[in-house]
Amino acid sequence: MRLLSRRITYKPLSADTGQTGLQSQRSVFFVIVLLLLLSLTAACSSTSHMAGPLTAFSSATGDAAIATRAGIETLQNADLDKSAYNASKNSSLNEDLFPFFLSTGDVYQRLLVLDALSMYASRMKQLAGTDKLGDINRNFADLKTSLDSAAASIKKVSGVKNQLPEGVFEVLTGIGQVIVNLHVADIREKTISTALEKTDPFITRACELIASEYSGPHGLFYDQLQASYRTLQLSADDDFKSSSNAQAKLKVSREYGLLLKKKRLGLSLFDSIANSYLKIAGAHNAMLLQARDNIQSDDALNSLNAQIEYTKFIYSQLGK
Amino acid sequence: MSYDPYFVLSDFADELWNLYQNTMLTQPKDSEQARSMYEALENIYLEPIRRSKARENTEKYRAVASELKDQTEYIDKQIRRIAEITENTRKISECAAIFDRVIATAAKFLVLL
Repeated sequence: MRLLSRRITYKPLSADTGQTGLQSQRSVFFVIVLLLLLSLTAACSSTSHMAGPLTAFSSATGDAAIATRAGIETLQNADLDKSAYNASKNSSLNEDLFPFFLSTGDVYQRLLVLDALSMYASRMKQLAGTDKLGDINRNFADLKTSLDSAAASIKKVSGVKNQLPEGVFEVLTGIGQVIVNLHVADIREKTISTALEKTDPFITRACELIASEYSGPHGLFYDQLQASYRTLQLSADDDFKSSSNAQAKLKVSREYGLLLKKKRLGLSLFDSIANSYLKIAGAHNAMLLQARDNIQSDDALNSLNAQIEYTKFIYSQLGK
Repeated sequence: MSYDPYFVLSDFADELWNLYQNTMLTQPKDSEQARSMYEALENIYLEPIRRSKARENTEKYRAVASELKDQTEYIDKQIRRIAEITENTRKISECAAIFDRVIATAAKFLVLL
């Protein structure tokens, strides 16, 4: 019995030892490959390193566009009031007395540029922050599960053991996943870099153009708004002089004060819009340097953010 | 920039406006004269110049908007390209799932037999 039991225990032991050795060799190989794949997967993060700056840029561009639209509306309203005052000096009214400063086409083209800037910034943010790698990884995980399950079914039916080494699908799908991830990350980073480089001159041109109209003194819109409010001040001054009693003078005086407040806020908004766009151009250029030469764009983006916050504050005051 | 007639005239208009404001109480006649000159300069010269410059800028805006649109289209194309790759991996994963179901069903039949 002892001999038999020795024999019985000896043979399987020797066979098991051989198989375990082979399996452990495979396992070590797969662990090494998996670690390599994991490190490669980690290298291509789910979002671009430009995601943060591009998100901040997109948000600033959107806020600047809102303030600029409000600026155009302010300009048009003041222009209308000015025309109304000038027209009131005549004995009758006609269309020529209301020569609107901006035509519908003028406004339309300016709004198109604001939209184009916002759209561009939004798409860049989308591209940098797109978590497609997460979807791809999920798809590869599903693929691995399906292949493992299919292999198990085949093994069950055929009864053949060790047809495929354990973990082979994990390694194969892992290799596929890494290749696709690297390819997608490469497309994304190259597109961001190329778009920043190609678009930079147009962003600069658009921003400088907008800034040239809103900056004070002597930006076209700045001066036009100032002239409109000055005309309204002249009108209030005339009303004040022609007022017969103290009560009427007080009323006109109060209106004059409110007019001055609106004028100062309006001009401050215009100047702030101009500065915002100059900083948008600066931030875009800084992001280009970050994408190309890895020079951080934080300072330019912080400066832009501060300017946008100031613009938003003035804009909020304008409605009060 | 300082030689642009518009800037020179605008500076002059600002001076006239300040004169009108600052002499209103002490020298009313001078103030009225400054106001009259300011209004003439503003309405006859400056506003028409601004209007004309705004029209010129509209054409510049048109060109810039077109360029920005082209760049955005390029980015859109790349976003679509990435989406297509993702979609392809999803399709492969789906095919494998179908393959797995077919194999599992076939296995069940074979076991029964």
